Amino acid sequence: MTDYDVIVIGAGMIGSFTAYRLSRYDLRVLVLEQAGDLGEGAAKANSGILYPGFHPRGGSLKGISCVQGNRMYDDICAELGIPMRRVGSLYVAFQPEGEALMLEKMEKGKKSGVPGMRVLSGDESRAIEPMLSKNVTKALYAPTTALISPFTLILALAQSACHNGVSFQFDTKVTGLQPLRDGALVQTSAGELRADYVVNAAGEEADVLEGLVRPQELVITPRRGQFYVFDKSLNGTVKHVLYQAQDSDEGGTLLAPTVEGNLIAGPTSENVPSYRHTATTAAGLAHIERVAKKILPDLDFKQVITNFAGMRTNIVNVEKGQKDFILRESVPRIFSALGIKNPGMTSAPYLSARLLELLAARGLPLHPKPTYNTAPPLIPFLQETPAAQAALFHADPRNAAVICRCEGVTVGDILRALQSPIPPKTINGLKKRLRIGMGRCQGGFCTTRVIAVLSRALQCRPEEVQKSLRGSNPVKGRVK
Amino acid sequence: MSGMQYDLIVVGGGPAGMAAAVAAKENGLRDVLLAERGAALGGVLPQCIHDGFGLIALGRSMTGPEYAHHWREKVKNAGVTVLPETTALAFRPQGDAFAVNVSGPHTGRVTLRTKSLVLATGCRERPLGAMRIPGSRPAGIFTAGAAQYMMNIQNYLPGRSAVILGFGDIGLIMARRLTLEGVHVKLILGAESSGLFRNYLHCVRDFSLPVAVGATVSSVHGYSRLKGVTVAPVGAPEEHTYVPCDTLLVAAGLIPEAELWREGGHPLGARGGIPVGGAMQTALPGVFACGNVVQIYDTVDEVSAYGAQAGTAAADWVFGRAVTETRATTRYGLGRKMDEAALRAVADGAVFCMACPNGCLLHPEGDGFAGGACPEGARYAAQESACPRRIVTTTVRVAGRLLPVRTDRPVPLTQVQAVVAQCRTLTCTPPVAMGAVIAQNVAGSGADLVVSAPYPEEGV
Repeated sequence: MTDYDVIVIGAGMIGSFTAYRLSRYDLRVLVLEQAGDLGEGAAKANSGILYPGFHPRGGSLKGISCVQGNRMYDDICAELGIPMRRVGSLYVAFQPEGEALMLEKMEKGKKSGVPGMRVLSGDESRAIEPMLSKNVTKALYAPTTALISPFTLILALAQSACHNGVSFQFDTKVTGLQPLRDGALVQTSAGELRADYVVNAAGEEADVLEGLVRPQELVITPRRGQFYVFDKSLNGTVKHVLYQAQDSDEGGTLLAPTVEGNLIAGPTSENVPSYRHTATTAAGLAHIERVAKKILPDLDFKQVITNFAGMRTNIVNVEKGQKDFILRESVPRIFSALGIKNPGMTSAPYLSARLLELLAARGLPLHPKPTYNTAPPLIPFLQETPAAQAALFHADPRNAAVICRCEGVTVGDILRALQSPIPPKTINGLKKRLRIGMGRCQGGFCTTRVIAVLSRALQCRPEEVQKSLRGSNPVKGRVK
Repeated sequence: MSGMQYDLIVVGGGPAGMAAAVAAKENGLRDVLLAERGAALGGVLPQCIHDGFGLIALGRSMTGPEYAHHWREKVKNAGVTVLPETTALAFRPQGDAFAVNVSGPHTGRVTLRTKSLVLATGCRERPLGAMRIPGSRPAGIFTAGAAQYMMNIQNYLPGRSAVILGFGDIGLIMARRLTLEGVHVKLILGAESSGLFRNYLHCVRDFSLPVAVGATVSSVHGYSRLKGVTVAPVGAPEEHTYVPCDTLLVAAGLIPEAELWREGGHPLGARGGIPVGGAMQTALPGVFACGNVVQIYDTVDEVSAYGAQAGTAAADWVFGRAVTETRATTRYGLGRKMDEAALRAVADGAVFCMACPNGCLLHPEGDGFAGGACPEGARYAAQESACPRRIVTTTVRVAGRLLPVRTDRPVPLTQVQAVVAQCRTLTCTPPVAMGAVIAQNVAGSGADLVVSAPYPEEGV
């Protein structure tokens, strides 16, 4: 008798999607995560864009999963009750070379089945995106490009999975993986577990894990992407996702509204020695500013509220034109998702569905669970209906006590988040769930108050409240 | 509460809002509501335990908690209705009145009606992120005001070694506060010197803290906790040096917290705040604004004065009287910034007199000093050059929380650290009355230690 039918390694985008899909069936499923929370890897610094799918090679897994995944999001967001906005994108060209590249992308997109693309003139583009540079000569418009909050998505997926019986175990590192005759042995920092099937969705460590069960032929290294975030006061000034058909070192940098009303500019793309190299650089930020101003000359950089960098997993020993997402059965009953970078979030619904097909083909019985239903996400007090607000206030007056004015979060919202199925443990965990401290004052007013609330609620000393990782406690001690 | 209509709702219970509410009552308004997001009135004042408040308007130097208490008493005596822990979320004109949407634990989320409105929501601190400085994002980076709240209200120590970015006044004040509580202040730096000269003298120069004007932080280092910062002259990033530290305080400017106004679709003024006329009236008849939400003021005295103006104007408006325009502000020498000339002068032996609002700069001449507007200046300068004395302000731990205290008279600068050190070991049992002496001749300084806030003070 094994411990689980399926063990999913990694609670990132692919792992959470896979858990969500598996939770519909009568299965014992465990998700193992080495970090203390969901989505601490590549998903943490995702741009929040659902791509239309004209970038990847036509007919590649990347291309198909991007187009198909994009389409699947309408139903998924409706089921999970989370916001998604199909704002469309403009892939802009500044000169003939760019226009040619744009048409090339359009052909790729057609091959992959991207719907609704059309070429706009510079003036037509500016008619729907007024701040756009007058130097834009043409643009490829794609209506299916959409905005979503990556963490809201992961949280909703994982909470729904959890609600339907999937277990999540955090702070647990997988140290060994052994194929068995009818399954696998998973060795972890918290002991050994047996499962009939294993899904390796370990992101930055997926290649290393796969290397434990078969010769490791792929080399996957970290590539950093830096971003600027702008204040919500610019909300509405940029309507579409804007990127440019341009020299390859500029091509990836885009401007996009976020589903919450901010504006982001980025990413850059540079190789770094480790996944811990999440610092931004002067050169990176200067690059973003240069590209952003090329597309939107009047963009007000005084409205910047922060910058950050994230990591993607980049396969380095495959030629550029041949690179693709890899989804495979590494050895019987152990499946791996490798090199899932941009547009991984867009592709995730398709990739996770495909993983289930692979599992089923190897014999995993998928019997629908009659009790399956999704869990409603936590709605912050100020976004609730008046009737729900009255009920919440009646239940606990602290639900109405605003602690973060910038993002509209109350003390009660924090307390409710702490009671949720996958509760936050740190200040950043709260920030990811409630956006507390993510606004224009960047937590200047609320963070120290949040520490006090967390310390009381978690019954620990203020010095033990962490920002994120161990050793990231903002309070170093007592004054006296 | 939600059924009635107020004559005036004041949003924000800091110095501007308190003065506005009091002035409105004094000018005949009956139903005045003061909504404050904190648990007690005072805004930022309770955490400003240092002295220097009220010098211009009241002619005496009070600590922040004392100044807040002074105005709280006036609010109470005037009969203003106070609604604490309440955040205003939006307002809109409704007929000939205004609807103000608020949320808080005393009311829930409700819409209040009022004939007139004073917006006194103060300001926020410019965060590091807005300065577009590259690097990592570890723990240990705080705005100066957040660190002040931690140290003076919450009893949280932000770190052990600090760099302060920006010469904003809260940063200067915190340089002294950190030093007195044993935190190593390694450098105060900024592109330009912007703080008050008197704060520089008493918070930085008194303790010989290292300063770099014309420099900035060019990168932040550390993965979980801050490990250090790279600093470089502005425009010369190649001349960088590394300063190890576990704490970075950002004192790089204040921004009017004018979101209520802006989110209502109204434009901001050139100074980033709510544009007002001479009577603190906004473009929306019946709506007034005052304090740092209009523009960033150097002293609380000015803020209180303009607050009173706004409250008076609101009363005039409700009664249909012509509004009284404010007289032009008087600039006081005491409000001088730490400009280059001032810094040079004190380096050459000059003394900045803080005995009165004039703020004269006296230069050594013969055996004494000259250049003051009154005889007091020469006396002040002589004392300052022979044996400078300072009021000491710090906190004492009482029943698990901090109570602000001050010496009842200036003590020799050389004894300031000893006084603060003794306060670290002192305690007393509550209740403690404001103004009560809790230690006589503290650390042999000749001064008594006086409680400078009512107990209990605002909770954490």
